[in-house]
Amino acid sequence: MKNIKIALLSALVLVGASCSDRLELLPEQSLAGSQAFSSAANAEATLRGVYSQTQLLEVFGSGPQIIFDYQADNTDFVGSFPTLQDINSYVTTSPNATIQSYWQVHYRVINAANSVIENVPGIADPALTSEISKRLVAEAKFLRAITHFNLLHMFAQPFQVQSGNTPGVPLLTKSFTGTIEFPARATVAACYTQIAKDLNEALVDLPAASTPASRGRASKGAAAGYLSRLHLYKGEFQQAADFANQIVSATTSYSLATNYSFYGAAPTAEHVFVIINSATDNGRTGSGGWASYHRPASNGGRGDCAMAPSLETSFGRESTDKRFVDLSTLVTAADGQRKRMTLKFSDAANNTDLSPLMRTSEIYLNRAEALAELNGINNESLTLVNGIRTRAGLPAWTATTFTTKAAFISAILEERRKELCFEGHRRMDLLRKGLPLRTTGPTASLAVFGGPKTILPLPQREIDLNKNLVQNQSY
Amino acid sequence: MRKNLLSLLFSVFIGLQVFAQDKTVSGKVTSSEDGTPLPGVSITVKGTTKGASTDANGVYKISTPANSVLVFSYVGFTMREIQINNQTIIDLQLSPDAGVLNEVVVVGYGQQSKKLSTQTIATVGSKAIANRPVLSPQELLQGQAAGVQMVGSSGLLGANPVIRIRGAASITGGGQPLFVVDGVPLNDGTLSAGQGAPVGLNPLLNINPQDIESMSVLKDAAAVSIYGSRGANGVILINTKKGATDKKTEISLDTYTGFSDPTSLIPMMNTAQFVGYIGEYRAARGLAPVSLSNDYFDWPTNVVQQGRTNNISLSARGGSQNTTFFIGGTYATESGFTIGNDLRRLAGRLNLEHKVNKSITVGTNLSISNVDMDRIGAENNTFAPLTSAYLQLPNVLPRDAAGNLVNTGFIQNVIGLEELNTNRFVSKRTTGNVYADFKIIKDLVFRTDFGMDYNAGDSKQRQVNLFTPTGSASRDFQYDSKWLSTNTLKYNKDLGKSTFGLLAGYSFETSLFDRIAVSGTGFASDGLPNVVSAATPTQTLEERSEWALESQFGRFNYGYDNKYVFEASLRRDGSSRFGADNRYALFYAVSGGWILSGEKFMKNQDFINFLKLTASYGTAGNDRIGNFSSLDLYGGGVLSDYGGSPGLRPTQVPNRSLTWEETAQLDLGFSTTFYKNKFNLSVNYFDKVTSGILLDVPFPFTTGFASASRNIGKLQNTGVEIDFNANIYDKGDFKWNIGFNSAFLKNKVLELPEASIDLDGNRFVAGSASQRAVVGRTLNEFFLVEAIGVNPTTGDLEWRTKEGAATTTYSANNRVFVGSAIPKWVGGFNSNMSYKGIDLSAQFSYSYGNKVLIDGLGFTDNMSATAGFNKSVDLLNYWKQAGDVAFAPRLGSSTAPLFNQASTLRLQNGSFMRLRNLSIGYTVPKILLEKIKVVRTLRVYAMGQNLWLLKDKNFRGPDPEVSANGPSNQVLGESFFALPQAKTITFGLNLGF
Repeated sequence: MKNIKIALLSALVLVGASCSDRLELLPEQSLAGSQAFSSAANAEATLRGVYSQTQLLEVFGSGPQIIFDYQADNTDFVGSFPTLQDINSYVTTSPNATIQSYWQVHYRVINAANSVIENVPGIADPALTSEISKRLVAEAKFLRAITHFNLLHMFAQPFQVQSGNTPGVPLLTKSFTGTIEFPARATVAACYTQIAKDLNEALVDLPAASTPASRGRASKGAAAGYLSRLHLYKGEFQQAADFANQIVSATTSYSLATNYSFYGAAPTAEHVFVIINSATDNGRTGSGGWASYHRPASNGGRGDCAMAPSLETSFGRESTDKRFVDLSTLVTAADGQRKRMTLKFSDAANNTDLSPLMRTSEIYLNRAEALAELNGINNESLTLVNGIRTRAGLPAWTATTFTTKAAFISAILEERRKELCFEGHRRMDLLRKGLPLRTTGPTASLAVFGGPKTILPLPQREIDLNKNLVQNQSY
Repeated sequence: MRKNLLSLLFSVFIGLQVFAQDKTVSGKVTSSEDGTPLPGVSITVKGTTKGASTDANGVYKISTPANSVLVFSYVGFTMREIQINNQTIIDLQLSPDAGVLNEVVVVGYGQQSKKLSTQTIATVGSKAIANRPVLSPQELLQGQAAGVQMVGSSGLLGANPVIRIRGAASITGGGQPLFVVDGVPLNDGTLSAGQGAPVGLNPLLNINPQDIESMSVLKDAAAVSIYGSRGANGVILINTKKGATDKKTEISLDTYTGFSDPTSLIPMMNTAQFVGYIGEYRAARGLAPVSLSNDYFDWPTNVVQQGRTNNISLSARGGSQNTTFFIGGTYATESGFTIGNDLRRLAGRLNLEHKVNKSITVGTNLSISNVDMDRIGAENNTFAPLTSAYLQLPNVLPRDAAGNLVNTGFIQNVIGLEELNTNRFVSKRTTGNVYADFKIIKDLVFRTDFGMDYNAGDSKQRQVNLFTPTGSASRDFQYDSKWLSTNTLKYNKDLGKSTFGLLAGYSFETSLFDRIAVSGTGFASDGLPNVVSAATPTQTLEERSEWALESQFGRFNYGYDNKYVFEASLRRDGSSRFGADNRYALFYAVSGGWILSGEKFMKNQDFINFLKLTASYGTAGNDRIGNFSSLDLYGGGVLSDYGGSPGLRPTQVPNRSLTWEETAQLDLGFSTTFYKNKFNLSVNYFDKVTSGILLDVPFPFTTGFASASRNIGKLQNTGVEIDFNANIYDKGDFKWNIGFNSAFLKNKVLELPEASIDLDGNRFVAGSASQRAVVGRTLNEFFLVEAIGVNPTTGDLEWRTKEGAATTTYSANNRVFVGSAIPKWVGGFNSNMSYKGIDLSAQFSYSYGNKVLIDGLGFTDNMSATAGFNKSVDLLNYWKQAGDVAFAPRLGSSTAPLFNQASTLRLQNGSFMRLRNLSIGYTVPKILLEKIKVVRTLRVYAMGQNLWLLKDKNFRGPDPEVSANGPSNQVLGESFFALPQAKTITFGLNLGF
């Protein structure tokens, strides 16, 4: 009898006592995807994770932005970094490691944003109200949109080439869950459509900017501002003007600063959307950063980005321009030569400078330009630009300063160049107007509008791994 | 009197038979071994009850019908049947049953008769490992078992060795076999950092070699598949010393003391040579002369010393009818031959078994140990004594004129470091199990076994202000804590000719890794040793990680007539490491054996005493894929925060299908004993194919990730293993036996889909800058620019282009495959002799056909005058005039500054043969001891390790036996400046009371 009991017991132990639930173990240093989207607090954290990656050098931490200025005629890259030199000399090749890492990190941001967009609405946590949930999704859509937009500027021709019927970039709107997909490039037009869709959807649920910190997050103003820029780039001036007006008219939130002290670490009413950096949390890498590229070694920077002669000439036409006199100095650049460099980014020691992605003055200029396109020389445009000119210590324009619409528009563009230089706008401002990136020097023939070398090659690694990707012409 | 009576009875008996008018057969039975007569051999007439036996002189006489068959049998000897065929005198020899074949072998979850086992297992017995002055169990396997490649990664105390059983069966997964001590699978994660070497210390440092009775190396699928997802790298079962039933307690005291020296050092320039060389180099290249100090300090000889080792083990073993025990303790100290490298080990063991009643037995095996080490850096580390001693300029002195230690900069003043800094590692381990056996009914036993293994490593470092301004300190405490429960049912049934065995089991095992580390800088005084006194905390880290494994397993044996044996085994593993879609893995093996020597047709010869053919096929896995590789993960920390608040970002790709690597293995073998049981030979052929190998597959970046682990590679190891033992002489006082084992291995990477592609279109996975796993080649293929040597006419160094032409331009595009780190042939041989009380044994091990890369040559072969490192004396042999056959190029040559670029100049022939162990001992005769009464046994001995080495005469480097990456499968045979193996001489005493 006793033996039978033991036999039964042992059989039970052998077969029955399964511990399979104990095989469901989770890591403690990281959260599994299911945990990352399990509460309101975690959801907020995953969104901050997206911002944290946009902060990197490779996205909005100065890398692409300095290229946008030196591929054009605002700066000259005089540093020693070969992959960046290649871009400056228009001899980039597809294995270029810098471009590869930019591409990589952009899609990392997009994937992280997609995870938030997909997973946050499903979180069952009473603390996560529908309002918060919608805001989180809206912020992620905003980040997805502007990251796609940034990629598009680097790797695709402007909309003005064949009305956007050229290869854009792969649009990723689903998070990666393990099955590798090989997306093809959407057309530039399709990319614009998707980006506009994301921004429009975001606009609905985003909050208005209030505190300085909220300017470092997506807001209604930021979404409207990007929509204004997008429509301007696309040549849809009414929409560009209308979206710009959402900011121009929100005078309690956004206004032109009276001087240039807003360049620094703290967001102000001048800023529509920035990435906020601090000494312990910034996008600088060993390769560079805003102040690192734009300040000389004597200030702790690399001294890589010198003001191009073309921009000096531009400023020289009105030599009292404070943006030249007060915001640039002669320093010893990376090539050992005395060069002029901007003072917009001053903190090469701790890298706390804001990434100035969108300022009120840009929005003013967007609306001024769009209205000029629509209505020719007009008072509102003049007023908007004059605010900027006055701040720069320049005489205001009057209705009689210009005789033609074209002259007016090109003056607004010139004003735009001087206002937004070193902030990454120049390249698209030229291309969207069908203008060459450079007009002088040995590369002028390559820098023409629509020229294949005005856009960067897709990374060779991606071409190798994804047969659906078509390389840009001439690479 | 009794004998006479017996003879009388026999005579009467035989007389009676004569009356029956049968034929009378007579003869003499002797032993085939030494020809001595065998008394008492029983002789029966087959099919009848008639019988007789031999007398004291081995003589017999029997009356029997003419056509009958006589059966001769004798305990311990092989039975023989002889057809009479009208013979009247039949003399014959009986062969002893080979003792080795009556042995029991330890297999997974049990034991088997070696004779009837179908598994391929190499056993390393107590004789082969007793008294060896080694620190870890792995070292005991060197050259002892065919197919086991063991490379001591360096002469550093506690270095983590390479062990590969039948080749490496994985690429990125771990390559270590599973070690099981008395049924408890050990944690084998290293709990210490490498300090220059790519791997930390040996995780089995606390397993006391003095406790080991024997080791079983499970090799084929039949043997390893019962270990399922952890069997693919082979399994090593360690059996510790046990008590014995009804035996007077034996107390043993074993002690030895020894001296160690490095086997070789690399000759470096002295100051005169260095200053002279620099002057000539600068002159030859038109550089302005510089004035160099003529001070001289011979760094290498000042960081080596004579090492010392001491070991004392005291044990008691014995038992009563119901209780058996082994209690042992060891205290060992060792100081290495490099300054600052010391170790102390204190270990204790209790193995106890008690029979409660007829059906219940309980027992425990328990060991505790503490290893306290003073560590040093090694390999690529300027804090490593020997590395820095080689690289330090010879005119740099460790002390100033006043005799105070100085900071020598980047190449550290290692003499000062060892004097003032602290670098300690303390490891504590408790391993053991408690079990109970219940005999439920006859032949059916249930065992429940609870095991645990707690292994903790505690590292502490403190750098003083002189060498690290303001000082720094760190503390790093880690442990692996495992428990497991194993329950088995065993049923064995003997049905006459047929025998059955059945094993069914369930086990659950889980282990937690935990770590806390802190560090800080800025100390007010060197007198404050702990991190708490640091002004700036630089690291505060806590991490934990857990895994669990649930298994069901079974084995079925069937034997018929001791001639035909069949075995099947099965294991199902569920692992927390596997992806949710592939959580459970099934492994199996089938095997069969045919004992030919049991067949009739083998009876009529007596050359072959035993012959068995075996075949097995089956699968096993490798679960070393990381604990959470299948999950999508989100990480926090500084890359996820924004605006002053913490964040989370996706860090790992989900891979729900991620799972084990599976190895399918075919084994064909035979084992035989022949010529009067004097010779044993076993030969096995194996073909092992690992599929589903874990690879980091590059992803399109559009996924948001760079790469992820996938189960996609395929790898093959084929080979032949030979084990041979010969009892050459065993008569009277003189005994001599020899043995050798050898394994030929061919390793081939079959598939690496989605891996990187080189310029020539080969798929590869890079293990290091110089080594790759390449499809169609081996796992450890060296990929380097081939250096032809210095052209005697021009004095330029020439490399070979990929097309084969000589060139003076160095380009990494000219890299070609120049050999493999995997030996074609490894093994060992040994000889044991004894005459009366004197014993002499020697054991060699060898490796043939492998290459070794010495990376440090890139530094010591730097010809440039401005390199801040000392240079090899070989550089003095530079080209001076046309016709010179020189080692180094002309000083003014454009190739001189490139001389030390990665090329085959760093690659060495790694073949070697080493006298691993030589010992001579004297056992005092029992007769003498009986007079003393106190001492039961007494043996004194002297033993030498690594006394002799045969290597390529052009070998440049510390030692061909190096591999700094330890158990890594991806990098084999590479070293920066490994410490050479130690040459050790020990004197010891074995005392029994």
